[in-house]
Amino acid sequence: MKLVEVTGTTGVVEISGVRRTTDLSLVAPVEPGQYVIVHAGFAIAVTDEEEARKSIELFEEMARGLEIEGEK
Amino acid sequence: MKYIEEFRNHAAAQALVREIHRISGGRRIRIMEVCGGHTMAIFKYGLPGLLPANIELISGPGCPVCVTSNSFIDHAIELAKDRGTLIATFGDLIRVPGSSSSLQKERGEGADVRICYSPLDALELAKQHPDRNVVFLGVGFETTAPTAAATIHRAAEQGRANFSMLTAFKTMPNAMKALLDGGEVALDAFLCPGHVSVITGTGIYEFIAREYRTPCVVSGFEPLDLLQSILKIIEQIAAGLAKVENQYTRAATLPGNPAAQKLLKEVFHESDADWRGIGTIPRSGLEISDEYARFDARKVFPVKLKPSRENPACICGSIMRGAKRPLDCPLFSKVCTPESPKGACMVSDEGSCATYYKYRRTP
Repeated sequence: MKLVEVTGTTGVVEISGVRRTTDLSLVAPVEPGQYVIVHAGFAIAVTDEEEARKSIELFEEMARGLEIEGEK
Repeated sequence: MKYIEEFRNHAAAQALVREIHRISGGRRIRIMEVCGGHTMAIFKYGLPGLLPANIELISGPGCPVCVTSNSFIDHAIELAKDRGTLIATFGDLIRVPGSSSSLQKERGEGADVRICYSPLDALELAKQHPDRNVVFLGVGFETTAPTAAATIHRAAEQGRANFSMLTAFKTMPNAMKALLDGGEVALDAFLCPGHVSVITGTGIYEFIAREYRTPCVVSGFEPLDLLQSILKIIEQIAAGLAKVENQYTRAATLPGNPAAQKLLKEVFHESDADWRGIGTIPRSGLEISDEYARFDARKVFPVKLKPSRENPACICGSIMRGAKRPLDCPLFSKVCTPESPKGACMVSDEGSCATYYKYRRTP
């Protein structure tokens, strides 16, 4: 979920337009714009965007491989 | 939804499935998904229908509500009978049948049982109701335990005297070991829980990979995460390897979450724990430490409990061990349904029976 507000160790996260207050004490310091995983009202991890990008690129590559094969 | 949609790409899923087919080469491989969140995702995205028939996914003891013993439910019900007490709990626990009642039934008879999204909501209830004893029911695994620890820590800071927790937190590694030691189900590999690992770090499964020669892959919760993790397992097996791999690299790390680990260590200590269907597993639970005993409902409100009873026809225990499947149960979908559950596995969304019921296709 995207962190949209941070006030001390409390934040507001947003997903699909729904906003929810979240405790940030387990992941502080964090900044608005970062993505966090929320469990039982607490952010428990910050998404590593570099790692996410690497996974997504690998999947895109696999998908392209299949499409190219389909065109042959 | 960023970092969600990208992990649901159909063509990439097809490519992964094809690799799984190719590398497994018809060899029978039995993989236990330990986490209830994984069970839910596997059925929601119809993965059993995509995978070759030789790859078998077996649900493990990773649904928090399902593994909670009847004696815990009975204890909570006894506490709820005191009209000075307000019970706060995660939603699905209230529907779990105990030996002779459920929290929902007690609520119908006047007990004050509130549903919370977070343990912090329960602490807030304690602030709003200074004349009541607010008891939060804390169940779950390493993912949830730090949220309870943080809440107890905060209650101590606030000097909140009318707040306590009845806890039955459990830890995964020794439960996985107990299943392997039990030898009831032949398992080739574990799909390891992503959010447990976010907290603990991915190293907690090392002894399983090493001592039991069983591959362990920490997985995320989207369909591409799960398929890639299954592929990693199959690649390990094909290469004769047994190691811990992390597929969920965008969230789980080797060291885990240090702030959460520090709180866990401060507020809890390791203990033996009772698992529904498995029994007592050494060093597989967390108890509130002596320093925070004033927040431990077990110590603050001791109750005398009769020995707990299980519904003899319910096979939830065998299902939790991976020894049986929901369709093997004579009660399944006949007398036991999500609307009228007879066992814990049908109550929780993460329970195997509830998942089978909701997404039932030929397994």
